[in-house]
Amino acid sequence: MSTLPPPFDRSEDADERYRRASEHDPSRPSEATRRAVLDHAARLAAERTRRAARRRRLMALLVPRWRPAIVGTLAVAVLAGVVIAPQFLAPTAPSESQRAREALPAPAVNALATAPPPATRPARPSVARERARVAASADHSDALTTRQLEQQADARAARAAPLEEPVVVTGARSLAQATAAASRGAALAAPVPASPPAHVDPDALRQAAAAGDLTALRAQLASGGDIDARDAQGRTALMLATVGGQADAVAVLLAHGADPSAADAHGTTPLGAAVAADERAIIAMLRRYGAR
Amino acid sequence: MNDAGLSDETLIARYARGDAGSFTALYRRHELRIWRYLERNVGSRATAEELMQEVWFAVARDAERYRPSARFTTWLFTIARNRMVDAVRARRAHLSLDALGHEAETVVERLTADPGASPLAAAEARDQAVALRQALARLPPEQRDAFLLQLEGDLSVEEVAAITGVSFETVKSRLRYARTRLRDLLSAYA
Repeated sequence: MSTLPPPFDRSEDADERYRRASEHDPSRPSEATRRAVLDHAARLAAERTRRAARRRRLMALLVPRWRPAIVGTLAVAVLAGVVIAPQFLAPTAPSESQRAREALPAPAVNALATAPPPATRPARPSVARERARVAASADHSDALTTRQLEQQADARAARAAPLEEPVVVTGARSLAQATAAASRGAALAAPVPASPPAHVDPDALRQAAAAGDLTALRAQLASGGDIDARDAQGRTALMLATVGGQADAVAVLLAHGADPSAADAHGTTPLGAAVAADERAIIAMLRRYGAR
Repeated sequence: MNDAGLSDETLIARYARGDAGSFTALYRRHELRIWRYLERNVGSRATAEELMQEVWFAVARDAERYRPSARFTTWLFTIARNRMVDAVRARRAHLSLDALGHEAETVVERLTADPGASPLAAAEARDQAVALRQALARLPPEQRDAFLLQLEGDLSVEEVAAITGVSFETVKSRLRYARTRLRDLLSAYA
């Protein structure tokens, strides 16, 4: 340092004085500190270079080997999607047994696959059923029309459960009845007896339907007779099963293709009779099959 | 490789990719500024040596995490200040006038040992160096810290405020008081 540093001038600002004084301050970090810092940095740099080289070697090994496998897997997945997806997307018409199952609540459907063949049960008389029977058989001029009966039943259902849809089985009694009927009605899924009866009797078909005798009903259906054969008052087996409150027999008949809208001689339909009797499970099934 | 024309941000990015030469260039570019900031704040050469290593070790270790959203010098001086604050808290290293006075004598010894310096020039330089150190030592720590960050780090008031965690107005006030006080103290050596 051979030049003479200028003295501080009172008029300079502090920054300038600081800089000028700093220029003449020889203080520096020691060479040992400098060496330690630079050596440490060099070691870290070498380590980073080694890590990068390892990553590059690993990628060079893995990528060519796995690329065909990755591409192949993706191609197979796309192909499978193209082949399988249309099967799920294409609309298919439900079979009769499917339609019968859809008409029942989920627990009942589950029971269909495992339940043993049901025992027949006697017809259960009730006031509502008696009213329906009267409506179906009495003189047409005295009886209520089907439309009026439906309106009355709908009004009753609305009073009982105003928030629920009429096709949904409502109330503990009706739900239990529908579930029990469905579980008893394993005849839907049960195989039809292999040997048909000796002779076909339309009266026997109607009687079995009215009584809810599913064994006899299945036997008659297996004989191949007319499922919609009528009695003297024009009532089909479906109508008699409805009037008798035999929900399981109704389900079997509908599943075997019975006409859901076959009216009797007075014009009363099964749906009208079911509404008059407040048989909600039967109403739901009939509507499911498009009954009018 | 000539790194002189490369920006700090380019150099730290190249070092993060494994180029040790870029770090050497960065270190040489900022060594003196960091050293003065640390030594003039803590007033102890030994503590400043330790902090110098810690700061640059941290820069080398965290180079991969540096993102050029802020200037490299802002990042560097943030590391330096954080390390210094930690050291002061951990070691109870207070910024005592005694320590600074003692270090000033060491500087004087080195100056007089300079074979190229004339006796008069050496005496003047010694006076100015001692005056500067003593003036800095008389500043309140927060004023000294703000002043050294701005002068050595070449940082704006906003950057100093961000690093020190105080408001813009507070930093302006500290800088104003620091400059007034320094001018008065250094005028005594005119």
